[in-house]
Amino acid sequence: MRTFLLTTLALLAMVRTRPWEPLLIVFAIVLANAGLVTVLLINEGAAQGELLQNKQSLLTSSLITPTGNKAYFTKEQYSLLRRNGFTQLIAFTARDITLTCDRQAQENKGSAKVTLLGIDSQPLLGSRYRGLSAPDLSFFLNSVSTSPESSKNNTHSSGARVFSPPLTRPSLSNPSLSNPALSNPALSSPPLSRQAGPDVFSVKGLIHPATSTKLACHNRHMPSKEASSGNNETPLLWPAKITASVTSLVPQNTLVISIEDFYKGGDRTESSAVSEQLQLKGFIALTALNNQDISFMETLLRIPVSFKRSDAMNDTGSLPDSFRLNLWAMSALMGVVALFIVLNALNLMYRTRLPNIIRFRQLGISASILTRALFAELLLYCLISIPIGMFMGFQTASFLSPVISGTFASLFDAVFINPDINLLSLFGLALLVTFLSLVLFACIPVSMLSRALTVNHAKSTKRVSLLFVLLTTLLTLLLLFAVEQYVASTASALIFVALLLLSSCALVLLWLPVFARAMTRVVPRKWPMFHYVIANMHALSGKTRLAVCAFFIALTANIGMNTMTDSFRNATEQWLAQRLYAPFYLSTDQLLSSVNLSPSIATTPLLKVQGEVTGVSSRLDNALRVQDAPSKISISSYPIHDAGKHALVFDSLLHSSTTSTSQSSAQWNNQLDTLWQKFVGGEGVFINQQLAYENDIQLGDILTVSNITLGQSGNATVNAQISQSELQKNLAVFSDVPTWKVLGIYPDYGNLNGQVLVPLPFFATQDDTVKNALFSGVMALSPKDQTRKVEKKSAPNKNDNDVERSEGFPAFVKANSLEFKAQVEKALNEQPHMQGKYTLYAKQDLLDVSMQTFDRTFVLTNGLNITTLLVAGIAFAVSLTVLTLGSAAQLSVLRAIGISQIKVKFALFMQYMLLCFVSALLAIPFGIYLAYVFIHLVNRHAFNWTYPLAIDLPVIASSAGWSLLIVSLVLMLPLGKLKPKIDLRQEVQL
Amino acid sequence: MLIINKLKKSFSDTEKPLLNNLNLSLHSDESLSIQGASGCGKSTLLSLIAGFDHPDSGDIIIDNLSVTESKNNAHRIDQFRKNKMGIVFQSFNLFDCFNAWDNIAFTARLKGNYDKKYQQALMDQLGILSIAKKPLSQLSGGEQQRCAIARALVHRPSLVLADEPTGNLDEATSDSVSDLLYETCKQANTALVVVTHSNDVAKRADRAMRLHKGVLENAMPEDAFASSTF
Repeated sequence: MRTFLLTTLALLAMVRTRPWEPLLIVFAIVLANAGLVTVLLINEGAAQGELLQNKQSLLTSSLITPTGNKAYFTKEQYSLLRRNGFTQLIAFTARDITLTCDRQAQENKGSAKVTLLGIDSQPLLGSRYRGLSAPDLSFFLNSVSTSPESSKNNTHSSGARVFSPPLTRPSLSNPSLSNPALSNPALSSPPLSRQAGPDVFSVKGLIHPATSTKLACHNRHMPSKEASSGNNETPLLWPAKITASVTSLVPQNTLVISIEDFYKGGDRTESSAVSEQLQLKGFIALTALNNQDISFMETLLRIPVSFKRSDAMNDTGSLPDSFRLNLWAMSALMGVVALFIVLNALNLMYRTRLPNIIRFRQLGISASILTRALFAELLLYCLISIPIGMFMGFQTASFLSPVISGTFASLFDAVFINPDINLLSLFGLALLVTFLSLVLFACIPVSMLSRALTVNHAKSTKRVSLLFVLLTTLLTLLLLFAVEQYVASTASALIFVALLLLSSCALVLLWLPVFARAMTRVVPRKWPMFHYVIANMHALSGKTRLAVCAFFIALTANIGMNTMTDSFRNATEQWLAQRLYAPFYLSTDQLLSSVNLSPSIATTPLLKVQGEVTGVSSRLDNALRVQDAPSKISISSYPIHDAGKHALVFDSLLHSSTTSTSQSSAQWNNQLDTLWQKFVGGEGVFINQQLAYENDIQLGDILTVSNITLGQSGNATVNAQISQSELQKNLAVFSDVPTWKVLGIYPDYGNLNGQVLVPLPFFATQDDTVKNALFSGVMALSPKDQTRKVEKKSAPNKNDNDVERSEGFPAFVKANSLEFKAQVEKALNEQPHMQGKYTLYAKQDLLDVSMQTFDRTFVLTNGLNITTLLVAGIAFAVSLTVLTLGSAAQLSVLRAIGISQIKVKFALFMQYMLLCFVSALLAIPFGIYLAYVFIHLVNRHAFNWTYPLAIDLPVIASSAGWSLLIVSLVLMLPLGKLKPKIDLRQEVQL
Repeated sequence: MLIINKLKKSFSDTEKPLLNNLNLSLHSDESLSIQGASGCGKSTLLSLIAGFDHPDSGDIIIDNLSVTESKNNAHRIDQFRKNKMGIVFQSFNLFDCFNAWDNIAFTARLKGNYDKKYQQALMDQLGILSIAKKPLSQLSGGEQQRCAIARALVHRPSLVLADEPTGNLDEATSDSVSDLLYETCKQANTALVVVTHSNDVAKRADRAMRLHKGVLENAMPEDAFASSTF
């Protein structure tokens, strides 16, 4: 033990004489842990945000609403139901308001529209609901109960559940009319009610954390759960000033307050006559209700009611998953880069310590004690560096959280929150991962070092032959191609990425000396300095190989990611430009039957139903493969006019001959025409890549689709009608159910779910309710061109109805878009129910928005990518600086024999840049291969779609150029400060 | 060839100058050995002559060029070192990226007077022609120092400065290397200044001097070599 301690102390004493290498190790560990912690926090924030979003809300479970002409229940009806045993009902009412965060109001920032939900909270007292714990219930009740101050101001309150009639207030929806006094920061501190002006009263409410985050009321750590109301309150502005507690028990985009406060705030949307009757929009059922209960309820109320049981979770999709996958990949990349930096620093440190370590061995210290002492030193560095790294990680995550939050909200409609993390477990995890990685990778050099008894033994390196390098390269590539064939899942694809990076590193280590040696031979000796630069680069290639590897991995990943992103961008842009065939698109939440446009405007509505693929019959053997877990799909209409035909891009089409693999353009067109005829004739459908890949569906296979239902419409009236008439069970959407034979597979970039396209005329129902329910809210608009013939001959339904209004409209290109837009807007605005209820998008606007969204999606990835490259560049430069400090004597000789300072610096600069340049050259083919792997393996298995790999030389050149520029700039600083001192007694270390 | 006038050098204002009004003159084919106690300023004197450092006062003139006057002209001093001077280090300080031949040829290539035959003859004379293509890691200490001597002479300098050229060598190799150094310089008509602790090396010089209390004293070889204080 004493020997171990003395050895460890002696090793630490060496740090004082040569601090640079240990500092480099500390730097690398700090960096790795900062990256790791940042990504962990971001991922955890995304996960906790998603969890909150998905949590079943207390108030969206079972809703009873009036149907028919009556839009409201009354207080008397509510009392009647409760008297007759419906004590599980809670009355609610709602309206949209504009909400402004207190801080935002002060900063004169924007506001957000939320639904103000007033509930009668009294029935919750003493009830047990869906396993809701007592503290949760207590918190809920306390948070929505009317505050004493407001009760005092409320002349209509009598302590009982008496609803206050609306007061005359400034407009609720206009944030500019908020009391100016509230803009004064001095007045925003609690107790709010005492500071409120005459037009402002104080209420308590509840808000979902996701909504709170969206409103940006919290930029500090926020507990994930409704832990304590005291620390968790968000002051919000309205004409009332609301202290909103955060809880996931309430729906998103909703502010829940007591119904008393709701009416005290006034309801400007209703006429005073109606509001005097205390309108109730519906009831929330706390416990399950059956059909008999509903019938009884209808009998009591003497009006039909709609009962909606919502068990749907918020569909956040898997885009946050992709985001998380991206982050994990980038963090793994940063981890690998940092690991190489640490190993490089270790390598450099052990080189300089070699004579001392040999002396230890010669003095009789055993190899095992020396090994333990070296690892103890490493552990000490970890213990010093990890907390610093964690702190930096926390700071980085806090710095990035507004950007990530914004990205999540705008792109994925998802929520990012500052996560609740156990610091101790995070430290333990970071220590474990870091130290284990170090031990794993450093055990070979450490054990070799601790066994060395002579310098020559330790420094002996075998020079590998070119034949060996070539054979190894060939075998490695063959191995990679072989392993690639077995990649069948996202996990194996990611493992393959790691394997590819490590294999390429191994090849770089082999090829770098070969390149350098070849260059040394080629460079003419009559340029002595240049010859020295090249020859010394060869010598450096051994010492700096690990730093070069870090740079190489970062650059390979950069090229791979950029090529992948560029390919995706190109594919998406081309695909969108082709797919958006109409000059304008209308988006509305109004009923399809209520959208009436002039006959000169061709309309093509997008109709949709939901379904499930329960089985697939193989084209080859007709064997039915039953799906264990049916795949949910959306079945969408597709127009059959020429513009639609030209717009649909195919990934693959059903061949007439299965053996033909390559086709001419004419053959392809003929085949396309034939398949379109079959599609129009109802002989088959087109499916997207997502559905095909997920279920291993081949062209020609026949799909068994069942459980075709109408999806939830955005329109409450339609939903109520669907629910009431039970149309979902007796659906007659298709006039002639087509054979679900797969005729073609089309790319559907960005879609997360399976989709089947069927001809628009097949949505042939005449039922207005169904038609309205089928309508997705989107409609393509174009000037009608009568010169083109509508392909009706093959359409099975020739009725002149809404769904069949589509015609070919290639003339949109020639159309004066402004004039057409004005025409459409005029037609829409003439209909009172459409005013302000629609959005008209030009094709170019959609393209622009899509590409802006695309760019924003990759902002964070690009940022991380550049950060990794910068980190690798800095680490490389620091490594080389350390190496330069170690080769001071060599530089001293150069200066002594008359080489000027600037030439020495330039020589060093050239050496390092050449190393980087050779690494960059080697990184290009591997970067392209990596992009291929990202697109055809990772994306294919993670998201079930792929796109063509586009190798764009300028993109690759810019990646390599930027990386070299980063390294060169980073190198400038240490080299600029370097002043090689001439010392006759300095010893050049060989 | 080399003239030093009233050279003064100190490393702090309070201490006594390391070199105090030091004077020296050396002819072009002359060799000079300098001995002295450790820390007396021998290496500092060499550094001043080579222009690595600047004196407090006094002048150093080599081939009619004042090194001290050129102290603000780094380029001029670099050029002078490249063209007129050869340096032999105690630790050889060869470039590990080159083999023996390229190490030696480096200075001649820099100066632009690379002469393959001359280098071959020089290496042959120093007995290292057979190891010309070997990497440095395979050379012994004596071979490396002979390479260093060849590197200092191959570009035909006017002055060679050698700081403890045999300090890292055994006695037999030391004698052999020092003989070669003196002989080669003589044949090349090159002035040589050797700083050494070794009496055997010192006594081979045309002139032996001792640095004492900041000035060079003519040291009778028998006196100097009898001293055991070095």
